[in-house]
Amino acid sequence: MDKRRAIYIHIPFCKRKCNYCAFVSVCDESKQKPYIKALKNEIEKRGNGAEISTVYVGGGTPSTLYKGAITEVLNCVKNNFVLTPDCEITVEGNPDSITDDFCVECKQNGVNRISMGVQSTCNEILTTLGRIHDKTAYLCAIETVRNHGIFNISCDLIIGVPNQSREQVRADVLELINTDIPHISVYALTIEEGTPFYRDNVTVDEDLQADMYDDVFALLTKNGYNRYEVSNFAKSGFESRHNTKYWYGAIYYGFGASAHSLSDGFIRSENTSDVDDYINGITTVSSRVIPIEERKEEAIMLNLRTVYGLDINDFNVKFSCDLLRDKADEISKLKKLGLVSVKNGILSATDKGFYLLNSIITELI
Amino acid sequence: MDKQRNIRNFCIIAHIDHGKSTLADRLIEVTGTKTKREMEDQLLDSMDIERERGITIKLTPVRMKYNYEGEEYTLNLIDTPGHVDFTNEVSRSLAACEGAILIVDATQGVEAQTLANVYLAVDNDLEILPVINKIDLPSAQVEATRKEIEDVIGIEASDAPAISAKDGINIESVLEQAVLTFPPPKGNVDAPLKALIFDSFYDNYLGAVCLVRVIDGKIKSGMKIRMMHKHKEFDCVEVGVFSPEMQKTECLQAGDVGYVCASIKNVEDTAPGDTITDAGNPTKEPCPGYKPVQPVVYCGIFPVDGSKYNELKDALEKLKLSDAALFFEPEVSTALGFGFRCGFLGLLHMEIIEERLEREFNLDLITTAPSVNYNVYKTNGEMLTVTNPSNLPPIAEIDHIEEPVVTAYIYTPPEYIGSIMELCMEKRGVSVDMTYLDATRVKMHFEIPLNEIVFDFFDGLKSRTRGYASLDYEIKGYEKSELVKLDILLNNDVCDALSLIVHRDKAYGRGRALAEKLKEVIPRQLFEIPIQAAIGGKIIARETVKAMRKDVLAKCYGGDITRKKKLLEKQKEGKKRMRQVGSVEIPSEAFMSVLKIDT
Repeated sequence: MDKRRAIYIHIPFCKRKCNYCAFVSVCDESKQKPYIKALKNEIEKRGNGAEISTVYVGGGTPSTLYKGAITEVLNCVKNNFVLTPDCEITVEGNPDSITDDFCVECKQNGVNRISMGVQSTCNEILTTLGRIHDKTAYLCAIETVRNHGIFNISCDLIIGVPNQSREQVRADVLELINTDIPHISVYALTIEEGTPFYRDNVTVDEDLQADMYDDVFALLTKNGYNRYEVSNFAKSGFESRHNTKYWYGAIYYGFGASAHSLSDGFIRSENTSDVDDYINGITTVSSRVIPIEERKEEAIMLNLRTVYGLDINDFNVKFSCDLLRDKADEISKLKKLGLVSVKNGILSATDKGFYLLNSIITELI
Repeated sequence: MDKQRNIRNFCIIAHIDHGKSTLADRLIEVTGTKTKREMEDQLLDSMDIERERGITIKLTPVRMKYNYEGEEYTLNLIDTPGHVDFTNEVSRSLAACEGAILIVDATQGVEAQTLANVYLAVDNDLEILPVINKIDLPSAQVEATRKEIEDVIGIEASDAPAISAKDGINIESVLEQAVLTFPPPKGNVDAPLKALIFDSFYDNYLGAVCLVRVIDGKIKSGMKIRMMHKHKEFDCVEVGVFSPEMQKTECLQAGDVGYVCASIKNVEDTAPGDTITDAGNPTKEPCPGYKPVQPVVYCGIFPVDGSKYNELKDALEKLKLSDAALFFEPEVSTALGFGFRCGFLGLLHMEIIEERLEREFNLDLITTAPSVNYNVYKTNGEMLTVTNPSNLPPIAEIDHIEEPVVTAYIYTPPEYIGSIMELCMEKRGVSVDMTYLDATRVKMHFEIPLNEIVFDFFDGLKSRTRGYASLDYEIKGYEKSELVKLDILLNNDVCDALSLIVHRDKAYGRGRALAEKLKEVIPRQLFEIPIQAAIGGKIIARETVKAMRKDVLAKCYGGDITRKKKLLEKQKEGKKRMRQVGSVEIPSEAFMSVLKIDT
């Protein structure tokens, strides 16, 4: 497992806000240039020449940036950190803005992975979500990316959207399988405060979402994709190394508005979520050392999200405890319910358990 | 000159919302006892709860000075509580007066509930001064109201002042009429001391303070006094009047209303209704009408956070200092842990105590279903008094059970007779008789088991009569009844805090309703939870809480784990409010929600 350092860069620009999205983003293009300038400033200021094995440029929609922006940012990263030869560099984009120009720029700068917000292959669902692309746009986008020599492509789907049926979800998954991309993320819709869905009192049916996840899991497993995290499926060798780092306490530097970092000494910090403040040079707004007891809880909470699970021995050494003894009753109850398993010194959630991680974690901490 | 000639002691009788507190405020203002600015709204209702609910719980007397035709009069206004739970207190405060102002709302006329108190006042030989209020409202019908007072109550109302307490119209005339209508006290200043305690309260510095009406004689500091019913003696350290703050005076004498402090540590020794006399020269007969307080309604009170047991204990002890009617003893529940079984005068008293515990002491509480005192006769001839369903012996050991039955009077407009009959029959009531008080008012007389009344009778009565009917009840006695213990099983374990004692005929309905309600309020857990209602070993209703399928947060973006942490914190916090019954976690709210089910 790759536990080397990572970089996350937040690009808070979109053509329009989607109805479900609570991430920080604005639509005002005139702010792009000053933002990129501020971003480079932050990278320079915090750059320490550390070795980095994954970079993730997310958003927002990085593919909507002005031409040359990605080059500026990645050059800046390279000037202030050392990227390993095997560095995984992911950039996010939406089907409607993944153009030849965008792909050329990515390719030139060493980007080797594209993550695409497909969300659905059904026009009604895309409209409900407030997406601006139609159901076939992703096909062109995948082709464009491949034409420029990038084959490590991931697509996101959202399940449990109002009025979405299990059949529709299965159709979405099959469509993506047909394109033969190596990585698929499937997120269950959650209603976040401050979104139009929240304002409209949209609710989700968690039972239906669980059924959908079962369907998705069955289809993808049958077609050679493995679930390696609650929402992530990949063909062997195409698991996102970057994503996994969050679950295992790797150090990561987050740059840009609302970006989070985990630094040496177990310091978690958070940047301002106000894009204007960020442009004006305000970066970190909160920062604190995570005390040992909380780290223990974090470890349980994060490690259990992946198929690799929690290494009991590592955990016991790190927190001088005996997990299997301290939580004997809880673990035995969860095992009896078929939600966790303990095998070869690893505590992990079962497929059924993945959906109930919150309850499992609450039992274990 | 006889000082008593210029004293008038009176109270105000009014239906809720007819403006009692507002008029009291105006009287205080007009007599210059307090300026408008000095007064908080509705001065007499000093507790927050009283002001919010617009009801009076504790009695507060006020002394006012009023000049009429060149003579100064002392007017003592004694406030009365307005609820059946406190009937006992009403009758005591009436006994301290010679007159009563009856407020009638000019837009609504005489309300049935007022009648009971008017009759009580008449029984106590009080002069009644009717006052027609709210004449500022466009819908006010002053003359019709006058006529109604004469027809319904049978008292002369042609001179009744027509006022607006809210706008301060004609307040003077109320004061004038009070002086003219109410007789002065007729005590004997030279006789041995005889003072009626009509209320008491606890003060952190003074200890228990008695509110008294001196009937005969004098009381001053330094005197050795005796409580005639409690048979206890104290040294009087201070006497005074309320203006409306406590104001020390030299002495109180026949006709006066005021307070007496005697370094009394506990309000239990200052029982309202008791008579204070001079220990060295006692009066022959105490004032009539003393009744020791008896709790009628019981419930378990537990802290939501089990570690707050001692705080709850302290709070109850503090409340007990000022509320002799509150009863409590420790109780242990397997579901709820350590708490107290508490006894109250009635449902309102119970609600008030709960509210004061939560507000004044900042406690989060779980209360169990209200219960009453059952007499359980065992096959071995023993008799047990049981208020807690958990203490009921096994069925095999029970010969029979008796439950308290009340005499209930319901006052209502005739159009609701049918639905009230229906309600009372549902509640196992027996109709005794029914009297038309006039064309628009009926007094219905029932005998109803108390355990039906404590459950949800008031809500039922209110909703079926759109709030028009009112209820007055008193304990009649005990009657044999087919009672059973209804248990609730969660995942096959009995949850003691949800057990109830109910009549056999109602057990099925109640059991089904409880199971349905619990299904709504128990959150889904990692496994399926059967909810069963049972009598003895027999299951009479079953519901199921399905197992939870999914609760995971799908996305964790850019390393932002704060949302997950917040969710986790919330869940941990929620877990603290959960009670473990066997393997099932029950939110504290669930225990409360089953108290309000309609069966």
